[in-house]
Amino acid sequence: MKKLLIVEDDKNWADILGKFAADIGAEHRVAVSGGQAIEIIDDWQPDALILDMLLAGETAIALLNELRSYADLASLPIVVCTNIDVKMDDLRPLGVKAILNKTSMRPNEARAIFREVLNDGAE
Amino acid sequence: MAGKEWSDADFGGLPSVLVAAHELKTPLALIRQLALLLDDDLTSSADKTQIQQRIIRTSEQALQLTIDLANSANLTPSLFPLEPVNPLALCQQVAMETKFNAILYGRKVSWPKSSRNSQLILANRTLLGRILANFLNNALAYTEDGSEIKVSVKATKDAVRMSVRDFGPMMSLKEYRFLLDEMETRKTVRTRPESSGLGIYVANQFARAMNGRIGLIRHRDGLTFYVEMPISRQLSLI
Repeated sequence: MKKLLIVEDDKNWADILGKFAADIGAEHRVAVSGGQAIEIIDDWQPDALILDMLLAGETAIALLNELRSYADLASLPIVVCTNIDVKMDDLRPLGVKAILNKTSMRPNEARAIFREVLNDGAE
Repeated sequence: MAGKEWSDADFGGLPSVLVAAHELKTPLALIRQLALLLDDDLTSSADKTQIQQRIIRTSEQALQLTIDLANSANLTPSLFPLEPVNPLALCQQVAMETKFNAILYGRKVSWPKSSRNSQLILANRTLLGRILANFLNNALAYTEDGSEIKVSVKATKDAVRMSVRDFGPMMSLKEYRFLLDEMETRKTVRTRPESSGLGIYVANQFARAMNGRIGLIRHRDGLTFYVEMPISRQLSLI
């Protein structure tokens, strides 16, 4: 079973994204901070990561930079899920494969992107 | 009028309208997604019942935020008269109002026990209740599953302090000093690095309208937000 780590500090959104993961048959875990995400990545080794941009504590950008600094994690597929305006051109160099906009995304769109990045991670 | 002090500088240079828009966008985006799930083939009947509850609660919170913002811009004494308030009884009311959120977030909230000798304070019950609810919602949002949130009431010589202690991520000293400075200069605050702090801004406005004040204590393992209200002397004499 593919493994998806959801880094999201809003309980409602964590549950929604977790449901999408379950819908496509993926196992998932939730981290509420960048620090907790790093711990889970080390222990659990997910196939892809879904990242909220407005995290408490460490910022998402700091986490993206940290992940890029580790050779074994630099290619971990990452999807940013946010309700702020971010541009793919700014995030692509940080390893982000796709952006899900919370204000406009639809369930099937999210599931399709989850499938895509999980398959991407398997290659 | 208190609302006039809501200047752009209060939100780190961001226009206040932009901050309010972002704060309202958050619950609206959530309500939209939950509504889409109600219409989704992969959502079970049991999940739909829970989703309906979340839609109701989230829309109520968004509505409350707009009411708070409107009130903070019009804090006239005639609209929000001060009266003797029992802080312990108020805590019980806020406990009921925030019970669903505490369950949803999986937090254990401990409330002060009733006491016969509770000091009465001079406050507006509605505004003070909203201050505590804002502190509590902030703590719920920025702590981890299973962590404890402690609400306490403590009387000093002239005032009663109502505190909400959380066990969330440690705030850096730099961030803490920045927040204290903003609170002392009576601006608004950002409660956490990624928060606009609109709820705390509202709490600050409400406290000032009641001759009270809010404050912040940094711990190694979290934060305490508190509101201090003057003791009702007239009632103590009766």
